[in-house]
Amino acid sequence: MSKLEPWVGSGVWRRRALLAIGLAATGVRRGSAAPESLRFGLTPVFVDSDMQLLSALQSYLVEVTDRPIELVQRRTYQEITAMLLADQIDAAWICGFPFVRWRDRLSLLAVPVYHGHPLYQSYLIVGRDRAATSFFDLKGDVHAFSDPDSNSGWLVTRHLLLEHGTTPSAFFSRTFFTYGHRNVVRAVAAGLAQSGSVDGYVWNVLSEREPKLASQTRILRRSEWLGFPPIAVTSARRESPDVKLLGTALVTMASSDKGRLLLKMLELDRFTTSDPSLFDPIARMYHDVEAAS
Amino acid sequence: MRGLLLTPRRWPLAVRVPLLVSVLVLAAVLTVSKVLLDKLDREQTVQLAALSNAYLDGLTSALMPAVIRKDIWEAFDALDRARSLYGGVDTDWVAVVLPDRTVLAASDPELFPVGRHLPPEIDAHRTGPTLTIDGSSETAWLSRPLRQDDADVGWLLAKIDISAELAVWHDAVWTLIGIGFGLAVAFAVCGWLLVSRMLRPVGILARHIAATTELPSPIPAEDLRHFGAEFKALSARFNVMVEALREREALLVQLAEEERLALLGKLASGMAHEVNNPLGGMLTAVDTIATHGGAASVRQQAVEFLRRGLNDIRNVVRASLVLYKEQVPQTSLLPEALDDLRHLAAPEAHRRQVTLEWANVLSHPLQTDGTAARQIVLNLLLNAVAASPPCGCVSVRARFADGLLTIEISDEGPGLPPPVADAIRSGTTQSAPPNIGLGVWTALFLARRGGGCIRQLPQAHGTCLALELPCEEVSDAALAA
Repeated sequence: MSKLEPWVGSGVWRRRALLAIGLAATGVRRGSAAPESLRFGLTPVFVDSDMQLLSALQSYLVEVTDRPIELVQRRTYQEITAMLLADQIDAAWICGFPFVRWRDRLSLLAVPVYHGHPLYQSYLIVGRDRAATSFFDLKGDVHAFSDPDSNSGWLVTRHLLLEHGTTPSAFFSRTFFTYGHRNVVRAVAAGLAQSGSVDGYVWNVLSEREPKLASQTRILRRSEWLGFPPIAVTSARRESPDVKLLGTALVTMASSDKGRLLLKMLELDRFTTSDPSLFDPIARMYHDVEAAS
Repeated sequence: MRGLLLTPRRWPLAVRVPLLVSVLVLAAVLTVSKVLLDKLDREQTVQLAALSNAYLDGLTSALMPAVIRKDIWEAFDALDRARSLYGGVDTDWVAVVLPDRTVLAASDPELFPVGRHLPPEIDAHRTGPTLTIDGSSETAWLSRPLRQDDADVGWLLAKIDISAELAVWHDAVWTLIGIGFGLAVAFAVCGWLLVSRMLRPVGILARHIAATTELPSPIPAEDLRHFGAEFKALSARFNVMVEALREREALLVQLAEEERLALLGKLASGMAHEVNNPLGGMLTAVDTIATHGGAASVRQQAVEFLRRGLNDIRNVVRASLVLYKEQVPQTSLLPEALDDLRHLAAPEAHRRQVTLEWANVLSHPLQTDGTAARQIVLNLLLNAVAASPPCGCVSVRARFADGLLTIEISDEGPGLPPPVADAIRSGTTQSAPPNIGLGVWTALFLARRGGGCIRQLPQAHGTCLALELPCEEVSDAALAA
């Protein structure tokens, strides 16, 4: 636990300071006749298909920022990342993999805290009744990945295969991307794929919200703890009032009833700030894979 | 009874008409049902084809981008989402097949794994018509080539469950069959009731016709209350006919009586003739005695002559007594009364030089109409005597056995005239047929009335007729009383 503390700026004084900055920014914007929307990009790093959750998130952000909020969703991580880099959106909830890939241009705005830590795992899942006991039993499978820019849904498994001196195309008979962790679970549950790489946090949430779906799969392997998909902004706009306003709203979520209700829906403890070094393990995997390629 | 059941033509009209109506109704319902079911079948096929095409069109448009990109997940997701979008099509499975015949995605990936070839028996449907219905397995096969810019990029193959559509068809079949048989049974019952009611007058008419063995009885007016006009007219004609038959019967009886009287007259004249003959001789004998009575031999001859004449007269008187007795109805036949007939017929037999052979073995009186029996025997006997040639022989044999009195009269004549033989063979008694004597008809009539009959027995020469009358012997106690 102590190893994690440097990564987590969770002091009360710090949250209050951020909130004060955010409120100040809000006051500035209130003077405008037609306040500009804040555009917040989302990726399937959480259960983004839950419309009630999206509505609650938007409602919370509107209430706290006092600005129109536009939630932007695209099919792939790449599209959201590209929009973020192009300043078409103010911030985005992306995966650790694109964050480390674009580390030089992106900054952390907030990091979710899940079960006390800003960490999560990648799961290798198989069908519930499948007799596989180890990763090596998956050889020859049709394997479902989530997204080519997903850490848990691609990079971790790719790196695992690399550690064993192989590649997905060599190890698996066929692979495909579902562009969503929930879709990976659906693919494995339906038998479309015999195994899949999925976000552990999303699988855990699904096992509670959609037990009928998740129970058709089981976890074969858990990865090491990795940095939870962060909310990132471009470094160039890190200090802009809009970005700070969003960041304040996120890190102060646990201080209001509405925010706590939203966190409960997300099954997260809170949002916090963190040092980018939280994602160094992901960065190392990325560099290893890049080097092997 | 079994023959009746196996012969519909002999069934009662009240059964045949409702059954015929039921069969016609059933045939009509079955015909209409066949037409309706054929139409339903065509409509269902057309509707299923339209629904299938709409389903394939929707799937094709949703799948085409994924198929072009060979995107397994997108293809599966489109198939999976279509399952809830097309509720009208109950798919067992849908598969997207690539040009290399491998499965890109299927709604049931465990049945058709990604990258595998379809089983040959299923792959055979891929190139078949858009819609192939397999009624035996209650399924239909859908096939649609996926083409982009005139190039095949894959096939869409689906197996859908059409048991619901077939269930509708089967429901319609059973409903129509149920309605058909229900209507047939209803029409049969209603028809039976109606026809029975309509034929009730016929039944009454039949009962009155068969009411007695002799003559039909007229239908009382109270029975005609519920009759229709047609049956009232028919019944009126029937009553008129019955009345005419009764009058004719009465006339025949009267004629028979007159015939009997004529016979009696004939007998009386014969008797007078028989009496007159000895009387003439006797008067001559008396004159002889008066004139030559002194001579013993002459007197003795005259006395003998008188005795013979008196004996003849006594015989004639006896016959007269018998004839007188016949005027009184008798409920029994005495053996002696039967023997008296020999004396009645003797003069005629003597006149025609015919010998009478008499064998009466009756030992007890019999409970039967003695007058009628004697009348019958006398008629037949006189006819036999009349038919016999001179010096011929007529025999009479009477016996009783097993409750049956049998009296046979045989002669040596030329045989019965054909009309008489026919009348005896048929036992005609309803009317006096032409060309036969009233005596024969009367004998037949009386025999029939007594519950018996007259039969012609086979005989080498002449004719032998047998009167058979069922009766019982009079008990000794009854005789004592």
